[in-house]
Amino acid sequence: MNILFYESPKDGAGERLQREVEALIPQEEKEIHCSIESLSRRLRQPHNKLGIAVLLTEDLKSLSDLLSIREVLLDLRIILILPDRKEATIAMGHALHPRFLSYADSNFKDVAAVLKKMIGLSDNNNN
Amino acid sequence: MSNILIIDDDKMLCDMLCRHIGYMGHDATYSLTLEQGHKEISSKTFDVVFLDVRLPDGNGLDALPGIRKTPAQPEVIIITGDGDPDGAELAIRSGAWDYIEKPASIEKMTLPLVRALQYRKEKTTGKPAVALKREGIVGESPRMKACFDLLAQAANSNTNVLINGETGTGKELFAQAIHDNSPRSNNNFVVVDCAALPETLVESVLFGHIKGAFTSADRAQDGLIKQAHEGTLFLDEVGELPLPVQKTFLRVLQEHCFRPVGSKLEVESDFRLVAATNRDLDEMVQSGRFRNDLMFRLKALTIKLPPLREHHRDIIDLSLYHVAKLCERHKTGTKGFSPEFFEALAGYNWPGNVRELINALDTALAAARHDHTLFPRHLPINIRIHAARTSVSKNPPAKDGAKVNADSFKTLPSLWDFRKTAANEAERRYLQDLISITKYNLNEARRISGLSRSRLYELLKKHKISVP
Repeated sequence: MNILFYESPKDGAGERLQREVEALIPQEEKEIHCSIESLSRRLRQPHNKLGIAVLLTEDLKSLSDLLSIREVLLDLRIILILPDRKEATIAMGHALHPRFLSYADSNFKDVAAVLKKMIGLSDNNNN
Repeated sequence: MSNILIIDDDKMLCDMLCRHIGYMGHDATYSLTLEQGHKEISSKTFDVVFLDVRLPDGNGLDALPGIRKTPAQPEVIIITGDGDPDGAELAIRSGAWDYIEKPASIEKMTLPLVRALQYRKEKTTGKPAVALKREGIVGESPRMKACFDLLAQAANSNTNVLINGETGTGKELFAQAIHDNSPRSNNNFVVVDCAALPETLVESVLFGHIKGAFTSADRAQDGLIKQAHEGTLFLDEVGELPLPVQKTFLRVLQEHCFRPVGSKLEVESDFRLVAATNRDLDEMVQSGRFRNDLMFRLKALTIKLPPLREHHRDIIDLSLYHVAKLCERHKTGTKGFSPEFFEALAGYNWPGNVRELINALDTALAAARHDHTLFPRHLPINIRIHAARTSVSKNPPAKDGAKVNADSFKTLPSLWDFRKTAANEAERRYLQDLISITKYNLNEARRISGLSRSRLYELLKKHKISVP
């Protein structure tokens, strides 16, 4: 199963996130998209092999962009990383039905722990 | 004013009950025999029927199901002088509202009447005025319709709901639909994936934490329960919730108050709970892996979603809906369906349920690409194999096919030979279909099959398939 990442190339949080999860996922099972256009294009192709998406939003704009393609995202198990902890931002985030919610200012150890468990579950289901 | 019918051979009781019901502002009439009662029911609409068991021309319990099935579906209150537990059980199982043993006080007889009339009134007025919003939930089979009735009931109340069903049956879609149709729909629908949360994170994720509550808690954070305030909290895979957390969560469910990790102050949250599981919670309670008290709290209203194999007739509607959606998503033209395509879908047992069906349709659309019609060939191989095997088992060989005797063993080929012949035959059929579907377009045939030009020619030659 491939894991899809969405993160901005200019965002330092993206690098921190990759460092935290690199031991969990082989490079060839990772798909990283750095623009909403690229992500949207990918999700409009058959994506049976994709199961989990880790979406890192650096600001409200990138969160709004994700909401604009909400319909194609809902098939995936989403780990969503929000740009801030404001109530309104969190409410926007819940519209994507994330299976786990974290924040861009965290150390992403929680994201890695949840991702590890999700990958384990998916592998068990596929076997 | 409601209409009440009493079917009892005790005229004195009938007169007294009629008079009393009249005082209550309703219209009551009586029949002394079953036959007369049936005539009344067929000529007039009744809301409630008092029905005696021993009548001169038959048994009231036998007549009960028929009365319940009449268009008005009246509530039936059984009144009997020969009460017994088995009769009471039979009455309730047959749809009776209540079972009263005679002699009984007039109050004891009219209280169930008041309740039954109240129930009918609420049932009529409580029906949703608008159609249910059920995005992505497709089905017209009786099993699904029964689930939609429960969905409407859940949306109109604030009670806890447990959605039970195999993986891929659409539990989350139902949870979302309950939220979308409820008065809480403008607030958050918060998903808690109990299976994905490591045990060390569950409490802080659910209840939140204060700054410094643990090593990495460098700032305070609300938990998901708080974020579901005035909205819906959806506990997916609730069976995976660790036992210690179950105990804490039970209290939260009772009081809607909790303490974030590290905090001494209680926080309130007015959330509505919907939980889902593919596990048998009763069995988990028996084996000590789930709390009995929590299970009963969760089960206030249970929606059991049927596996797809138990509502096969919805497969066509589901396919039409999802293919249209996928074509729109992939920005391809719409596709037609060959009858055999639906036959192959209907012949499969779908262990992965609707989710597996959607994945199969997605695969079929990818395989069909520029084709206008979906054929079984476009489906994943496991479904095609199943369809092929089923068609063979439906048409067993006529000559001694069912009998395997000692001679059969002698004539059976070796597994290697059998496999080689079967593979050869499958290859021949595949190539014939390939050429037929592509209308002899060899470039297209190469694209679909993934074969090189020389290998394709070689195989066509081997199987004597000519291309004009």
